[in-house]
Amino acid sequence: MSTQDLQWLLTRKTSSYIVKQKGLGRVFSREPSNLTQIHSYKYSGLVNVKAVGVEAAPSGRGVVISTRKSKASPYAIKGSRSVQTIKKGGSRRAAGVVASIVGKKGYRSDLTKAAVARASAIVKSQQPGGRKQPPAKKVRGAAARKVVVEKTEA
Amino acid sequence: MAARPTVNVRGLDGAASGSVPLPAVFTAPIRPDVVEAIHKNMAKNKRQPYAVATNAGHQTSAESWGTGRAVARIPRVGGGGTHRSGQAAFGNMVRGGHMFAPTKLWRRWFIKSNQNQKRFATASALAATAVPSLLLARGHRVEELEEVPLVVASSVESLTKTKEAVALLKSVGAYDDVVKVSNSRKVRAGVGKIRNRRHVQRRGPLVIYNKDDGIVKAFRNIPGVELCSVSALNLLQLAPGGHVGRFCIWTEAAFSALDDVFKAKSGFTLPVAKIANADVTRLINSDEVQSVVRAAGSSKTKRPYTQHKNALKNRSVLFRLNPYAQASIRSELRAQQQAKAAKAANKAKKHKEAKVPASKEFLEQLLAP
Repeated sequence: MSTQDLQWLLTRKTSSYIVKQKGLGRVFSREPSNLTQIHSYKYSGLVNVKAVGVEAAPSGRGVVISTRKSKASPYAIKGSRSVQTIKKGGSRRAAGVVASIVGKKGYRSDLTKAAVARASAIVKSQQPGGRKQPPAKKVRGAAARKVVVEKTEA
Repeated sequence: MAARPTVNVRGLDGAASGSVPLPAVFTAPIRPDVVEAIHKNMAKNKRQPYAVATNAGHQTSAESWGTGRAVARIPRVGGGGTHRSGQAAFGNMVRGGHMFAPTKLWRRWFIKSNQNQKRFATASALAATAVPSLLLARGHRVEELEEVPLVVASSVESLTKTKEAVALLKSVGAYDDVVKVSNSRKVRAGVGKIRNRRHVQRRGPLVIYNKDDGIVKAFRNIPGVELCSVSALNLLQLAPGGHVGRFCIWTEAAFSALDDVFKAKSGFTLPVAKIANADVTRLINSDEVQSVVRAAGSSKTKRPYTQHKNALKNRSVLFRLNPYAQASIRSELRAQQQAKAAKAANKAKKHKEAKVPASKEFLEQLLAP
């Protein structure tokens, strides 16, 4: 069985998940269990024996975290990952659960930050009414005076 | 070596009904460089020679007019009474002339590959078919598969109906790959579409059998599915495009015949990996390595030399080099201060002895009319 170092070398250049486009600035990846969608050895979900998957739950509410079962055979595909769903709570709770699964239990502590960021981003995106819009920018200076003039004229 | 892992054999319903040991080929090193090189040469052997007509652009008796007629010295068609007369001929830059470096039938179309290299590449490509990540990276939809390699019962070899074959693919979770192929069917870009290569589509699973009891006819009409006998494994099918990791479906008979197939190849021994364990992280963290490496040093490196200081600007370095310098500079400073003080005193003195304004009498006398 080939090791993950070898598998990375084999898939680094040719992989169906690679996204290379002009103007992107770097190579991205569409593969599952890639926390940042960046095509790199560290984040690769395909190659890494211990890859972390953080996805939105298909129901549209909650976060699904998946890790590889420690006893799964290297040839196994389906059922080789243990899946956990966070249904309640906001982004802070999701972040805590993710951090404990990925970091505190010693699974992949180097991915903790990326996993937490992804989980909170997913939870934020699931808030009813969508993402909170930032307050409208106050107009200042010449532009503000212009607005006042227009109002008085109207 | 540890006991070889086993692979489940799946029945027509997709459930595991037994297991077979993994053949030795699957431990062969995966060498994409070898596979690519051999694939490149093998893929050339299906070409049909083509060339332009040998006399194309030469069917005229043109000759150069030479110099002195204010036209280029290219051969020109002789005679009169037609537009062609006087026109240039032959050259690749000329209308109606031959092409540049006309293609010849005797181009090197077919390339012989060494037999053992082909076998090496085949073994390597086979080993790659047992790595899930390589299958996924090739684009095969195998997410619903329990494990690779996928081995099905030998009874599949006697399937005769495509309906049964599709049912089998669905039950083992391999049908997603067929769906992918169906969806990928597109009209080919370019001129190939008028040369009987109208559509392009992805490659689906490769079904490998031992004995054809109807399996070929059952599977061959399913989009993307290809079939191959275990005794005639082909690198072009095992690594399409030179990319390893084709999704293979084995019948149990074919899978267990694999060891014998490679043993029967005289003069060929299965390639063995150069190192038993290629896991670099595991090697670095092993007791054997960790027990002999030196302890990690501090994260800050110490400069082997001190930073160069300019003795003309840095006083402490100057005084170390020239012990007299201190006294010299001090005396110099003192002299400067004394000169300054003297100058100031002189000025003050001069100021005190301010000039007496001219007396009235003197001025009257001076400005007398």
